[in-house]
Amino acid sequence: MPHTPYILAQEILHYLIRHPDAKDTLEGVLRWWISRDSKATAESLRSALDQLVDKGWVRKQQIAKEENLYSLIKSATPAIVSFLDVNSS
Amino acid sequence: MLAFLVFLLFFIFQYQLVHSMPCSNSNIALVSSPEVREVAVKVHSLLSGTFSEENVHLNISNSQVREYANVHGFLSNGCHLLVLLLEAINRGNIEPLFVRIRKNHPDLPFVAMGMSAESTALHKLLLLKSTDFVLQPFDELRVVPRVRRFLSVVTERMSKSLEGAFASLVGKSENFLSAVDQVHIASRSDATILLLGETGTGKELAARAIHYGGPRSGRPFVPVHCGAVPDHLFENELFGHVKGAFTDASTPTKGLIEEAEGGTLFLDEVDTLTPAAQIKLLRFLQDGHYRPLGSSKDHVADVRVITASNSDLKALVESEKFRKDLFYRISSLAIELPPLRERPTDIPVLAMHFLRMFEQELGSIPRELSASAIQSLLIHYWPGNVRELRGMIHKAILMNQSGSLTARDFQFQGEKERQLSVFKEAKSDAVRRFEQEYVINLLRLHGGNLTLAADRAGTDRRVLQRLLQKHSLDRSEFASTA
Repeated sequence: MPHTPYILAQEILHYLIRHPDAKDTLEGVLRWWISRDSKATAESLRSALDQLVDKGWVRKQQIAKEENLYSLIKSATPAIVSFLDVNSS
Repeated sequence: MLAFLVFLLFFIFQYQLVHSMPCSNSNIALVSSPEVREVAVKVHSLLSGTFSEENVHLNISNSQVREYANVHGFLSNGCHLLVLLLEAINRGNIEPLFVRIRKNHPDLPFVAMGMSAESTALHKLLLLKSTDFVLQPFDELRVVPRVRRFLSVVTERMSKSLEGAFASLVGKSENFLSAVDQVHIASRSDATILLLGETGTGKELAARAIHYGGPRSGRPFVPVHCGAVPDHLFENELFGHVKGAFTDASTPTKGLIEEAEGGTLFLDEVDTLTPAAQIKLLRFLQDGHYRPLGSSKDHVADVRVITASNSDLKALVESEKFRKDLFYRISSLAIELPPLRERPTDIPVLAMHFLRMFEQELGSIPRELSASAIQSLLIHYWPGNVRELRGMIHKAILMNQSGSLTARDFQFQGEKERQLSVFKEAKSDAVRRFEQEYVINLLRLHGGNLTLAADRAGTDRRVLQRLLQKHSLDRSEFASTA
């Protein structure tokens, strides 16, 4: 069963907490930041990333016409850690 | 002799890369409580001696390490293994420290080193995944094997991760696997790489595999499609600008080089760079220096550059459209990804791979590829390579809701024209060979005498003369054969 955007968002956050300097586009996040088991599609992943951008936890920077670079907003780390802590209990 | 020496050096380089692999890419964070600072320095020295100083990062906390909050800030920069040095491993730090580390970093192995320990705490520690402990004395025999074991796990995981991503580079043909091998090797070094191949052959995929399989994994990967950026904007995109650099520059803006700091910058279609951009890129590759637009100061960046092109760069160098010095700078390690038509045995494999992938994504019924469908796929030229194949499979699934895809689902635009063109070429080739053989036999029969040969053939002597020239034949060679 493909993971929902909510679960994908958690996977992305786990990756960013471990690799706070990481940056990549949607394609890179899809292939390298989340597990293969997640069976994520570009659509569901984009939705997950948009949720994280809305929360102010992930930065989205346009680098080309239809390409964005995603990275961690480091000041949000304590909030992210709390969120992951609560959700992994 | 020189060629042999070069080959020998290359072999030694590869050998060292392979045999240094278990440690060369792994970062160890050694985090210590302040009260055991002196011991931490000794442990750091011990680990640095074995795993290389640049890979072992000593961090002495300002306060006693009792909780995750004391440690979290040190777990950055792609930490692969955590070594915690504490005064005591006891029930007081199991829950707020070890359990929290495991919850927030499910895959991070860590070794707890304690001056003293409670057995129940050690037991609980070992129940957590990928943990170990070492009690004093902290000598090489006790510490190094435990750390090395975890690093092997990390390396294996990184290899599996790399293989996992390479699952996207599907294929078993020899030329393709050879390219994949080169990508594996490239991922272990920090050298500038040039990826060559037609559009759709997986250059960006390979670039990411090199990045995520190497020492800069966990740092930025910034792709730039040079051909898509307008010439007059390219330098600004790459190098950024300072406030006031031009009319609309009301704030300073980071360029993509700065965004890629510590990581990898992937420059696709590098052959489309303007001469001015080529000079600046060359300078950056030479010493890491660049200058944002409008700035009077040089900046320095630590960025690995991977370039890619689907053009014949050598030809562009010869026609002076691409700088020779830049070409030599980027092409010292060049990897060529073969076009799909040169790996036909991979076509059915790739087709099935995409079929299964889209079935999962779209939640559609499983489908099979009929023999006629495979035949259609095999005779197509694939100018768009793997990307084109992926698109065709996607379209076929959307248009055909039945359980089997046939040749009818793969009607390629211009395919009939291409097949006709192939026939014409084959016919022309057959005619040429027949002509040549006929003239040779005729001359052989008549000892190279053109008049007699033409008469025999029922044609004019001048016609025969023209055929001789066309096929680069000399009648004197047949003079003694009559």
